[in-house]
Amino acid sequence: MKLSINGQAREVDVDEDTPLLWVLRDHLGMTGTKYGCGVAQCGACTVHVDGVPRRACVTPVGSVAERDVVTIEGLAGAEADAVRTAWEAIDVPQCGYCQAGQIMTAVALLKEVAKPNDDQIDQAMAGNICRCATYVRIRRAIHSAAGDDS
Amino acid sequence: MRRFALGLILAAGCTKATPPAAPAAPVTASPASGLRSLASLQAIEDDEARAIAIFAEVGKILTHPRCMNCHPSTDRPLQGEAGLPHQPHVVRGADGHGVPGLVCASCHGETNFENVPGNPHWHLAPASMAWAGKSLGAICAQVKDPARNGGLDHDALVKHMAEDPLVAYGWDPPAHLEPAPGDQETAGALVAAWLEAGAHCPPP
Amino acid sequence: MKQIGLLPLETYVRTAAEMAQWGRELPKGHGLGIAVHRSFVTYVATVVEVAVDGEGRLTIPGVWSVMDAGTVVNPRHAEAQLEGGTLFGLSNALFGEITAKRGEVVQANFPAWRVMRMNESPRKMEVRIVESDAPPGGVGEPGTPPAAPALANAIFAATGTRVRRLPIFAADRSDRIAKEVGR
Repeated sequence: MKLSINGQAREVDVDEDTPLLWVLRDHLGMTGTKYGCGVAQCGACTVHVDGVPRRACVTPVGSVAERDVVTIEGLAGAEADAVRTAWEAIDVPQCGYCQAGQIMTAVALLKEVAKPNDDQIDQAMAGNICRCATYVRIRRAIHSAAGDDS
Repeated sequence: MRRFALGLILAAGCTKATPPAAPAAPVTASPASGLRSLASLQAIEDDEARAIAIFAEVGKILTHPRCMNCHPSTDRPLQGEAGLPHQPHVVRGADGHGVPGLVCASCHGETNFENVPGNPHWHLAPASMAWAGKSLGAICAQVKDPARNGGLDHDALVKHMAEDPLVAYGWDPPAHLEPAPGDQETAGALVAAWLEAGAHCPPP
Repeated sequence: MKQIGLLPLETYVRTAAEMAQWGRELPKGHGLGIAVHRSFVTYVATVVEVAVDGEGRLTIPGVWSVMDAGTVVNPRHAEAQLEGGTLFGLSNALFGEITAKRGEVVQANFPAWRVMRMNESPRKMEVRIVESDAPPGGVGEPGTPPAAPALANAIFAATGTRVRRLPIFAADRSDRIAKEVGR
């Protein structure tokens, strides 16, 4: 099966109903995308499919064959740079396991809403669980990445 | 709740990809569907009584969790057989497809996959079409009011029930969820017969 | 060098209360609660503000927490740990029910075991690390124990009803506490 991952053409020999997350991690060795709950509850496996955040654990790989998949390894652009800078400056991660998913969602939000308010941030990020509960810093970092340090 | 949780837990327990179930065979209306047959309803002579009796059957479909969960009274969809608030916390957004950063399609794909329902058109019904918590009479009045049914006239209403691809999901959920009663064709026929009988509604 | 375990808890209660501006006029339906605890040779006092609306929906607008962990090597890390430990405690107090059926834990994954999410976390959170040259204590866990009692006290202040059982929300994902609080 032919895939486009982070702008690169990849070919994998897998069943169409293999979860995209398995293909990324086990077949392509791209382990930045994390396995959390496996049932679309925690958001740790978030990738972008044609720019839209998508839980890779419940995405059959056959459904993304003709589409652009972006993972944390290939996340680029002004929003991604701003988010990475803010995450570092504010020391967001603790254990770090959920953070790839958090960043994928945060960047997707900022691509659509340049200066999100608290409600917009909470609604966008509600699908990404953090057991270290870094939520307050995530919220602050998204504001910071948006150039709004209030 | 228990059933719902069990289904999710079973799915959660899968540590590797499992092949999806074979495409579900269309569910055919039968006495087991829990719906009265259209023929027995058509035998009711009085128009108003017939319309109300038919709508009672339509109501069994509309108020089933497969339909009701996406016609919530708030901005949040419901989930499972008990109609519990959806987790994760999601909201309808501007067009019923979610908000920037967390859209329905972030989890709901084009087909059912594992325990997650899927449909290419997955979204919430508009707030004007909220049914949750309402009486059947109130839902009935709403269904035939173009201002609160998505602007559908009678023909469009029948077509929506009988052919809409997202409505079709109601009879084709993932294995751990119960399908709506009957089948989509029956649902369309019931709505057509109800309209033909004058679209009378149960008392509010 | 100060002696471990003999400092008056009052010091920390007063600091947390000051941080939260204890005694200020609160909006209708709001309440402040406070708790203090010593664990892992570290003191933490926490104030939680809750808002409970007429239908029993609970939100946590603010949390203030002070920690004395003795000598702190990396204060920013300690602050982050105090934030996380406190919210972890609130998450468990709100939702963290674990039950067993036929020898098996029922809550096998997040669908059945709710945890605090971004939309449930406080909009305002302030933490303070006390400067000290006492022997170092823990910084990861000590934020957790005072969170639940501070929350329960805040609910009492807001509603007049004592929380007698945790978690505060039943497993039915209700977003309302009215029925559950007194059970």
